[in-house]
Amino acid sequence: MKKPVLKFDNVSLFYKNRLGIFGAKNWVIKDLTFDLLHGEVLGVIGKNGAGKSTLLRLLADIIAPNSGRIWREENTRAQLLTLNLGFIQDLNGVDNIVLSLVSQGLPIKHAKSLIETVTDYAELAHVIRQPLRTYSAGQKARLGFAIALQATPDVLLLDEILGVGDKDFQEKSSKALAEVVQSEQTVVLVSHSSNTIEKYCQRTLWIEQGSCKMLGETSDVLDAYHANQATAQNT
Amino acid sequence: MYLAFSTGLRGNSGSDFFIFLIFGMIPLKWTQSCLQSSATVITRNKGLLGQVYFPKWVFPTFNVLSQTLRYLVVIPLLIAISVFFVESSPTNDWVLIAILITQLFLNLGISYCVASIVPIVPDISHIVGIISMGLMFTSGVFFDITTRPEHVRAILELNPMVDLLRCYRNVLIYDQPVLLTDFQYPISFAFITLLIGAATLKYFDRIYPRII
Repeated sequence: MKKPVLKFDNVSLFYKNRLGIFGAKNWVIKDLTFDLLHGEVLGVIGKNGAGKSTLLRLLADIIAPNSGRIWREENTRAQLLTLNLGFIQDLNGVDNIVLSLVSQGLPIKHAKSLIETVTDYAELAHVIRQPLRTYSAGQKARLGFAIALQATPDVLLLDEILGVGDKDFQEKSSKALAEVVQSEQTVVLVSHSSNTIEKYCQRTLWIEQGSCKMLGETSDVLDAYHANQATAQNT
Repeated sequence: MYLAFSTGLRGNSGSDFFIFLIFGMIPLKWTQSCLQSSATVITRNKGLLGQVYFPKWVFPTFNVLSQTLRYLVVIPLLIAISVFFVESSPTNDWVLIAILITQLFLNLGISYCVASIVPIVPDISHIVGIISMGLMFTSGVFFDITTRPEHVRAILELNPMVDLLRCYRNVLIYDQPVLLTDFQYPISFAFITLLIGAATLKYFDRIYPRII
């Protein structure tokens, strides 16, 4: 049996509508308990605002919960990869590549050596020296995906990172991600696409209003999720 | 500001006053730039903080260091004015290093405090400009603090920049010795603000991305 690399124990988190003691609490994650196992690909599904992105930020240790405990195996580094990667719009593509890779823990020399690889993969050589604010949404997404591929953390957290760019790039990115997922890498994949979850994930966590609605085999969870959606549409 | 104007902002006149002003205004500008740019340094990096974990002290620290680099470019100019226009002897200019280090720590302390508190109470960013102006008018940039009445002087000397500007002028204009006791208050102020700022930044380290 696989050992857990990360454990959530009754984790809860709220955002306040406004700061101060009178701000109403908006619970985004409520009493969430689950284990993330070594080498598994865990899918996370749920409606918009269910708490999926907040869950990834908790997993990445970017934010702290208000209550509960998150246990991490010693020296485990979880890296959140989204399509924006915290880009700085006034910097050009090259600077953003270096900044993003360094913020993911790569030494600056190594980050610089990857500029060409990332640029070629993203097919952005013609605009790479221009400020990011001049890029289209698709170009930024391609750059984000190409940078994300260079990351090698212990736990990879992917937030809606598939379906980027035109058809050719989608095929290329899909193939690259399949390679990552099929390796021994531990991955948490958030997606609205059931097909993506079904294709890549062994287990799936269904979140609703910040709580765990169901956790189990992907096919079982997706069946229950679709049935729930169908019921909601009929009522 | 009230104290500065109500007790007469006369200063000296002519070129002496210009030299007096330069050796107050330029060093103070360094502290003001650090204070003002550090106020929003965490909120400005909101996008990055939501994606990647960074210890939050990194932001005000790098901000102060980048302002310091700009200031270091001006230092030779200050020394040149001191040597060629004031005809001050450069023999004790090495004390300038001690003054710069003290002011650097003071800037770090002030920047840590303001950077740590603005994400929690964003309205403070609106009064940072006023604080900065208050810092200028009470620091003796325009007048010699020693010419103020005793009770006004006691209040003005709560501003740590008063001692530092006096040190700058003693070294670069008047060729006066600088005593260790001149650094006592600015160093204490820097140490306390550094401690408070660093503790606040540490406490809210993983809470800032939730609240900004």
